[in-house]
Amino acid sequence: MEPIRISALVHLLKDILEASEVLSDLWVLGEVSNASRSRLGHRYFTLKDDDGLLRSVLFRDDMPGSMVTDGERILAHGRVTVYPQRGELQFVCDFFRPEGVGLQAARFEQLHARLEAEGLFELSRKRALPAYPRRIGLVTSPTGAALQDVRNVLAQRWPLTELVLSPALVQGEQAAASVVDALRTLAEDPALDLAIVARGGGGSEDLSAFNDEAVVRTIFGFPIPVVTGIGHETDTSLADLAADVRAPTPSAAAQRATPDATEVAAQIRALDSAMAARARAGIAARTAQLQAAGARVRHAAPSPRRGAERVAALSARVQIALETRLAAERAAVERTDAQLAALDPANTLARGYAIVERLGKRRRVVRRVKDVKGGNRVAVAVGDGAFWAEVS
Amino acid sequence: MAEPSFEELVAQLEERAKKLEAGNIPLEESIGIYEEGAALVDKLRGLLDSAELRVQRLQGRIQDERTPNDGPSPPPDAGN
Repeated sequence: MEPIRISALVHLLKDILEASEVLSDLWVLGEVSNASRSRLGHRYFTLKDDDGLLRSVLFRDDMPGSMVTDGERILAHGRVTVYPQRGELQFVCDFFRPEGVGLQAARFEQLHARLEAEGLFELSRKRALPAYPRRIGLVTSPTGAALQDVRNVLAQRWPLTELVLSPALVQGEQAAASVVDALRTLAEDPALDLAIVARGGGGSEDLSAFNDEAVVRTIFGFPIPVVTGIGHETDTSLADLAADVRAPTPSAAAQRATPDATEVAAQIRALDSAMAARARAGIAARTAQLQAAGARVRHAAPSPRRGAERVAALSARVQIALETRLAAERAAVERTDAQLAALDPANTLARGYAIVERLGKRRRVVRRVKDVKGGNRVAVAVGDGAFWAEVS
Repeated sequence: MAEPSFEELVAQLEERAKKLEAGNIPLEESIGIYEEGAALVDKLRGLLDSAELRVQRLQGRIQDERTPNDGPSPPPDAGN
């Protein structure tokens, strides 16, 4: 057998290692030693435990600004390769966290960093939601409270839509694949103009399905805008970050996805009134014009008379239209009275909310934390009155 | 031809309102525009008043599983 050249051999070993799926995407746990940073910004270190060690590198562009510290035990993600010039086994790390973080959290952070670098969470990629959605897809459990919540909000707020439920498991091991499946089924519906991915709050804080890479990518690549309403108290899931709009609960997602029919009706009423006012003003102006013309032109010119007849006819048309309007208006006002009562701030205050107003020269209602400074005097209105307080 | 969508009807209404707002059109024409606008308003009101949410369920690949933390199951859909 011919002798094999060293460089060919080390490259062969490198190719063998790099062809391994396991070795190209793995987490290792070890203690850092011999940590140093090269002039180019690469960080070299050794990872070891009781019985073995592995030369490691964290290249400049991965986790720039982070440094490994001698003696620290870390969870590191990366791949195993051969450094041919030295014939050394090398671990090319691309992400690490202290051991105490735990593998699940470290995995989450690594995926977060990777998808973020890829642009999946970019605000500039978020799409606007349709103004008046006609057909809304919903991915959630067919037996969960989320479905009922979304239904209720839509029925109340914007019933001019069709809700298409694409059932999915939202918890457990098969949840991620099931959510991807349900989304893909929805994507085949060409009439759909919005999708909601929802999960009820409940006891479980298991969000793993919504932190799954395939789920996140499917949401990101979805052909129409996606709103998430994944009920959980603390963390934001990666699915939330990739969605066009994220809401804290299924109900809130349904709310973000739709206009309020009561408000839309009010806008239509306003347009209607503006048009009616214009039409009336037009008639009045023309009548005045004709009267002036009639006064000026004494002899029997037929045109002002014809003009007056035309205006009278138009005026009658408008009159009829206005009366119809007026009747519809009255009915609409009666309908909205009850809805307006629900919007009355006094009712909100009675439920335990408060309105805080900053006192002093520039008196104003406090909407956000930065509206007040320590020492500011404020008036707090509650259900049965008001009191003063000082911000500390 | 498909029925115009709510969005299209609103756009048509807004266009009529804008035309009237701009003025400088003959009176007769403006009354015509107003009548068109009023018809659109009636149509939109009708849609808003009569709408009822429709729910459709696609066939998923999942069994009728129960997720204990996910609350009570909804009533079955009428007409689906």
